[in-house]
Amino acid sequence: MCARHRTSSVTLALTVLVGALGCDRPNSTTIDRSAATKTQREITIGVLAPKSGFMSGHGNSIEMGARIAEAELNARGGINNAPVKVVTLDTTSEPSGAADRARELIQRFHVQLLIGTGTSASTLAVIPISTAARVPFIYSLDGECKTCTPGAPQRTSRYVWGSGFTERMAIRPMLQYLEGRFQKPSKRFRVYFIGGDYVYPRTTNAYARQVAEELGFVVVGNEYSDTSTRDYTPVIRRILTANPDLLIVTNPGASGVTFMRQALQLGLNGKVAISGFATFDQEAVDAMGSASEGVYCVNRYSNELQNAENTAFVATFRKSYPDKPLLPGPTAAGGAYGAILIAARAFEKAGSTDPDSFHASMQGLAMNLPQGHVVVDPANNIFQQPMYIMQIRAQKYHVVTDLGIQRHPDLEACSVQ
Amino acid sequence: MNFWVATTLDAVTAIAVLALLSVGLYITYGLLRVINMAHGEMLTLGAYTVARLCKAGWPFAVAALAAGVLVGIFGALIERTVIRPLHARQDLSTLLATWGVGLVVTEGIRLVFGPSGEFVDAPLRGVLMLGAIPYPVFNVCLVATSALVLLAVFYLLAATPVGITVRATMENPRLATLRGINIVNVYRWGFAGGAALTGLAGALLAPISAVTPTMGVEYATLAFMVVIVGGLSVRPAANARHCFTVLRGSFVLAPFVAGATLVGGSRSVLNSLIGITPATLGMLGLVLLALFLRPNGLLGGK
Repeated sequence: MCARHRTSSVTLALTVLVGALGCDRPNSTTIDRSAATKTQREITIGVLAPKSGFMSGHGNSIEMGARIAEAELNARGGINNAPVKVVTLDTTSEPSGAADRARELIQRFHVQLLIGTGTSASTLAVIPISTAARVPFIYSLDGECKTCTPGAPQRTSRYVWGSGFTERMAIRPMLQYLEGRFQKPSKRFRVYFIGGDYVYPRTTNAYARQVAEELGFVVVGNEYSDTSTRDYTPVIRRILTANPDLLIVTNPGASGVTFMRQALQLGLNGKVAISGFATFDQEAVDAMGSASEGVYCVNRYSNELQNAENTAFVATFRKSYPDKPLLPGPTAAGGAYGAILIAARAFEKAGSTDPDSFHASMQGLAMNLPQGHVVVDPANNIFQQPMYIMQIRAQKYHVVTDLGIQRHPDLEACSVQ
Repeated sequence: MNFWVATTLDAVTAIAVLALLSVGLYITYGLLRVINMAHGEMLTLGAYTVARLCKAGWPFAVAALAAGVLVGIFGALIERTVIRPLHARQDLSTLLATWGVGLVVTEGIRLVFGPSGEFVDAPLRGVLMLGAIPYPVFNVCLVATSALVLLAVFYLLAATPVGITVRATMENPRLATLRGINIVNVYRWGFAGGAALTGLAGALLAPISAVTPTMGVEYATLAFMVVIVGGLSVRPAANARHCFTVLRGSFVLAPFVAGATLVGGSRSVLNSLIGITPATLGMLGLVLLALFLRPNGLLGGK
């Protein structure tokens, strides 16, 4: 092999190696861990976080919340005197990635609990895997109900819980509030819906349209865009032409940011009241900048909530991540941190990590968390929790109204097949 | 009438944006025959550079130019250390290597800046009212910049000794070498120039996009479509000899402008007519049809 050829091969190999090392890897302290070396009494929690792809902002927040929970639990002696270890794997925002990482967490890391993911499709991909392996799984982002048993939609799962709020818990009170806020005299309230073309936005907007029609609103537009869309100008023109009172944007992640940035250029913000579901999470609002000004949203958490648990949590977050400009949002707080703390309480109540004992302990379990008082609904495994209407000003969430504790009705609209 | 005026304006904007973000890839692929899988990441680097410089108080225009220069320097570095050692192999090594570069850039951005993203306020806000049709002022800036860049590239390639050297190297590198052209320098500056244009495109797109570590992925896909559909050269009609002679430089750019028109223009028009997702499907259908009917590019070169 000539010298030049050898140099070329080395260069190629080095570049590929460095590129591969740039890919996400599990926490470095666990990368070499195998079943043979794992401490027997250690409790391992697997975190399915979308750290790349269109939901990558949420993935980082999920991990940050999980790490704070891990540190807090270990500071007080772990769970049932066993140290807690969090292992985070990147789902790449794709269902196939979520499924592969779930298998890896279960088979390689032998986790006793799974939390995550970043999208409804990813969660639906994980549920049959965790159910077959009898590993409790708390899906920690907002989304439609997914806690029915696969193949038996009338039966609540023994292995799946939802810590986020569902559309049934948020939409009606939010629409009623916004109608009261923006209703023009002697005119029916006009609403336009747009969303990303996948499970969560379609199901959420479908229910929102149903509620809007029940409330007597006029739905003047309804459309969906694939997540690769980068030019929303024609959509924004259609919205301006329709002249709604309220625009509901259900376009989580980077695509929602792009939409709002382009809406700002066409002056949509000043003409239409804007709200939405999952579009205006903390991670997206930081990237939206001034395009998020004045937007109303409904969510389960604001870092401005005044209670002892949140005060302590925000202080810990700031201390743990002093170089991060991001304050904790719902994904970090309620999504990961809260889910792990409630699960820890259930493990302690059960006295073991046996999945059936865990299930029994979770029934009706109540706890005060940064977002408020939370109860695990025994009828459907979805966390009952307070909901808040917030308005975004200077990229911060200001609580406008406390809607009180909301619960999801039974297993209504469960999307698990 | 208003609908068609608005649709035309939006299509022109989409074509201009696509041409701007594709011209860099066109140059590097046309010149080196290298599939630069880090094209999207260079665009992302440009966006992040302008975001950070604007946050530091730089005027947007200066920050955007600086972003182009910095990404151009990065491109020159990549050409020297990654592409040049592998270029002679004439296989897929450079594709793989630039893919690795892209991964490193994406993860590096995520490590340094975090995954949440940045924002850049447009330097020009507000809308122009063209009758009843609002048209963003910043879009005027985008279209004008794209036109200026294309004109500058056209002039460089058509009317300067540098351009003749570049076109000669694109046409036949071996013959160019025999004629005394230092093609190593041509490749270096060509790749750096393509990278600089891509960085500039990323900077200009930042105010109307989500500036995230993976923002370049979708734009890169469209850019590749433009270059592949447009092709790399033109077969002039037999009776168009005089025109070809007069406009010979323009034919270097004509293929990729045609590609940008098909990809960007069709998607925008269809979006206005039938909605976003059907528009994407329609555009992809047209691209496939074009590749089937004109496998050597829309303007049918060799």
